[in-house]
Amino acid sequence: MNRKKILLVDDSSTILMMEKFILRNGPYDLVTATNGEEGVRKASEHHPDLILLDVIMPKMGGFEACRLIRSAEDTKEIPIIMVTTRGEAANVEAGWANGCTDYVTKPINSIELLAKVRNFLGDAASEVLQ
Amino acid sequence: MSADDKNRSYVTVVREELQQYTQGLLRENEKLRAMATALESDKRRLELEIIEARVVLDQQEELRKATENFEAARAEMLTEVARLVQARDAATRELDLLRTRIGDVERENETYAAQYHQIENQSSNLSNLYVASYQLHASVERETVLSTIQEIVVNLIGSEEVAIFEFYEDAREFRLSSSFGVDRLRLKSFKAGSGPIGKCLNGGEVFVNDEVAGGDDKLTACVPLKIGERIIGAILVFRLLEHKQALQAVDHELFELLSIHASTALYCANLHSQVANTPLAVLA
Repeated sequence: MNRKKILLVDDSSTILMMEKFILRNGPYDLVTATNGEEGVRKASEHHPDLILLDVIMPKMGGFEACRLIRSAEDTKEIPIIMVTTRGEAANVEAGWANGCTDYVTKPINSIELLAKVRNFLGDAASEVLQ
Repeated sequence: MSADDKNRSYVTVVREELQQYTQGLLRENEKLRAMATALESDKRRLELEIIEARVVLDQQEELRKATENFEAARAEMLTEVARLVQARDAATRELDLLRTRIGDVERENETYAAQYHQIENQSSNLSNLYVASYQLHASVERETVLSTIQEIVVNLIGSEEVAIFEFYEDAREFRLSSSFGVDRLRLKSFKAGSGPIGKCLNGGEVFVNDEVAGGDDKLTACVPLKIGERIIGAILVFRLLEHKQALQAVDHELFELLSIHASTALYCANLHSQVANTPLAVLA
């Protein structure tokens, strides 16, 4: 089975737990970070297949982390889904400008999140069923 | 007339007659030749006609054979057509059955999809409740508990305006302990039983304004924090996030959960704080 690695970056333990809960049954290995700086470091260390990145975090925010991940040669191709409380156009535009691939809004809808994760990682979940 | 003359005359007559006879014979011969030529021509014509007739007969024979073959092929084709018609009728019946089956399968599929969606929703809702409950009881540190309550409101319910109050028995008032996104001075405290919020808490029931939509500057929920029947505080939730159009059933569940579990978590955290700050000798 082709397991995929996902890096979850959020300073909220509630959100991290929620994301783990949603993704727990999929063929995913989960790595977590609690701020942007740690997120950038772990992206480089673990080379995940996908990153879920919060926007507002201590030490380093999501947009800056996104920009740094995009600027590094070994992590620039990793798809990044921004997780934001604000769905307004301006915020989404900022996400695109900093190189994010997609975004989901809080409160996280598990069906929406799973659909987006599967979209980026291929339908790896169906491999489990097979 | 002398005998010689007579003889000569006779000879002459005979000769003339003979010549005439000969000429007659010659003419007859010519006629016969012409007749022979005509007969020869007729013969050749007849021979040609015979050949043509044979050709026609051959052609008729071929035509007969071809007709026989055609009839045989036609009969075979009619048999094949009849077989194909039967096969078509069978295929049509099979197709009708398949269409019916496909319709059944599609309806089953829709039912399963609806059930799957419902289960996914239930699973998602249960996840929310589990995470909220787990997080509330993951720590006995007062600040962590207050922060967790805020996180639950912000991240699981979807509001960035929340205020947590604790009830002070001696002053009979609710005082602001923690807040996010609200005017702290305006919401510093309020008396029990007075004002719309104080009255709202009198009944001890969770108040939820289901009319509120994302971005509305109104009170969305007032959640009493209760230990048994005793109110120890309240959580006020104001503006919902712009993209959150309405409260869901799970939000009501979360408010109910907060009413009980946030109170016990906060109560335990306060007790822990008191115990931690009390010298061991006093405890003994």
